[in-house]
Amino acid sequence: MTALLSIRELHCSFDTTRGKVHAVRGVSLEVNAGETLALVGESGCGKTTLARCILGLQRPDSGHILLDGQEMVGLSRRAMRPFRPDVQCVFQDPFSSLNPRKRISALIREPLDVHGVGTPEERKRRVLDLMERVGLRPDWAERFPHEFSGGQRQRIGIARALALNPRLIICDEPVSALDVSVQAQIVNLLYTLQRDLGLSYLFITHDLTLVENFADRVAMMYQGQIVESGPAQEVWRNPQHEFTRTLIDAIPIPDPDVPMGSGRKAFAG
Amino acid sequence: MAKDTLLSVEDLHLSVSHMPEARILRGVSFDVTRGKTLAIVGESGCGKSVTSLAVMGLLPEGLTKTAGHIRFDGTDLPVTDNEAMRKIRGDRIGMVFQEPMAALNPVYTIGNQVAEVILEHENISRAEARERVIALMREVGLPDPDHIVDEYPHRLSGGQRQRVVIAMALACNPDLLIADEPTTALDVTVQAQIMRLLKGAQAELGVAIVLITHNLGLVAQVADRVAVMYAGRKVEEAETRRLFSAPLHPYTRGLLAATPRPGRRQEGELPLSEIPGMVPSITEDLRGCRFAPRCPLASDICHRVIPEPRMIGATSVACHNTTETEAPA
Repeated sequence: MTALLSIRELHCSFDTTRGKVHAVRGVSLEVNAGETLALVGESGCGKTTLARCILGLQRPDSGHILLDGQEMVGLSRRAMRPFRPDVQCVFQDPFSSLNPRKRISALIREPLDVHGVGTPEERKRRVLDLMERVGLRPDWAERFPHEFSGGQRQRIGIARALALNPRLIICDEPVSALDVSVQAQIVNLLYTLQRDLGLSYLFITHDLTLVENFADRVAMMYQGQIVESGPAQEVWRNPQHEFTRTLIDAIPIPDPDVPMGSGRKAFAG
Repeated sequence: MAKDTLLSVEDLHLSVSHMPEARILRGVSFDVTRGKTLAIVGESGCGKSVTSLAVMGLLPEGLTKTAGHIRFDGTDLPVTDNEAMRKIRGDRIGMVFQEPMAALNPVYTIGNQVAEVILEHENISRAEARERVIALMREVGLPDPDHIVDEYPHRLSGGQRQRVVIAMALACNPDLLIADEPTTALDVTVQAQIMRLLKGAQAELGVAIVLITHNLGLVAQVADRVAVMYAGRKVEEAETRRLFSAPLHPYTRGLLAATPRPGRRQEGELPLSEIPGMVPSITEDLRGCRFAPRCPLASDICHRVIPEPRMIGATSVACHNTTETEAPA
């Protein structure tokens, strides 16, 4: 079986005034159809650069990005265009990722307009379908982003990402700016959408407990490399790499009987 | 007021000045015991940060305290008298905020900024202050204090900056430290280091800590007591172990259930448990309990009468429908 997304030996670096920064150093990973791969790492580990490469927003130095077996690296903008709908993105900050001057209907319709999907009438109907699917009331369509809470804005962002029927959605810290109860609503929405639409997620996060509750597999990224990967629950129960162990130990567990710095005990059971 | 109570907030009400119907706090009371940690938890907009600002006399312009008392070490805090509060802030009450870069001035060396706190409150020479600063930096675990004292904030990592802010907060041996989301902007490993540092300082100096956070994991690990706030009110307060093992208020229960935790995932179920609906806006004038529209236990009385805090066992809870029989001994 070919993976939906297959990355092989990807390298990406930047020239800065202080010399070369090698952000992604030979990353290989796969995301299968219908699964959630969590990409976990601390700030500056290269996870967002990796996401930008997959989205075609950043040109890697070398390596391969295969979408359903088709090589994406080296394609011209024009050649990449037919593939762009397949990979969409949900961003971390729902306050800065929505244009404040556009109405919700226009924001959700924008990907359809850009790719020239359907007639104006069909697009309008599609927008309403999408709003319903993500739990937004259809009579909110003509409102502006500032009229919505963080959680609702994230729903708008998700509707926008769904507009073109993608196969893979890259979620870059989609719930870390949200409150606990809202986070639960959005995570459950992503889960339900995946079940109903067969989506795959590359879920970038630093919240390790959430990963255990939500992801199928996990890839741990440290200093530009994947240092450990496997089924989420297995990795948590029996972490092999020192970095994974340190990170899991540092998780504050919501249980007064698990003292600070012993997170691994909570997952061992 | 009990003898070992350091800070006592009583029936605090806050409103937007030109909009009296916008009531941000609707009667919040809590005590902080000397040398202990009280965590105030709740979600955005519940009023937890503004409570701490009120205690420090740093309410933003446009917010007014409409009722209530704030007592510190036996006397009323002069929260509206800025000159008097300046003598207390930094000396007897230290503060640590979420965003360390915003708390530091980018054009002064960190040594100067920490020394400023000491020079404001104590009559010592600059050279003596500098020695104190270097010693403090060693205590908060900054590497190479003799050198880092002359560095500017941008040269430090996020965790190091937060250590500098903690050094400033502890510079005059305060009795109370107010930490508002002190680790939210930091990576999880750095977060653990910073919390260890705060707890270490507490053990050594006997400083009381008010920890304002939305992270129930942190609360479980570092707090002695927990106050849970919802939409401008305190809905529950208990000793930490009790709150986690026997939460009484339906909101507290919902919050705990919505928090990701190890081994919760069941095959075929949704990943997390939700609290349906949304927080009411600050202007929304519900006659009864502010959680009632989202509450699984809500009955007729909940929509009509505001529940006052009452004791069930050792827990204070503001709910009509939670009963003693539900609280394990």
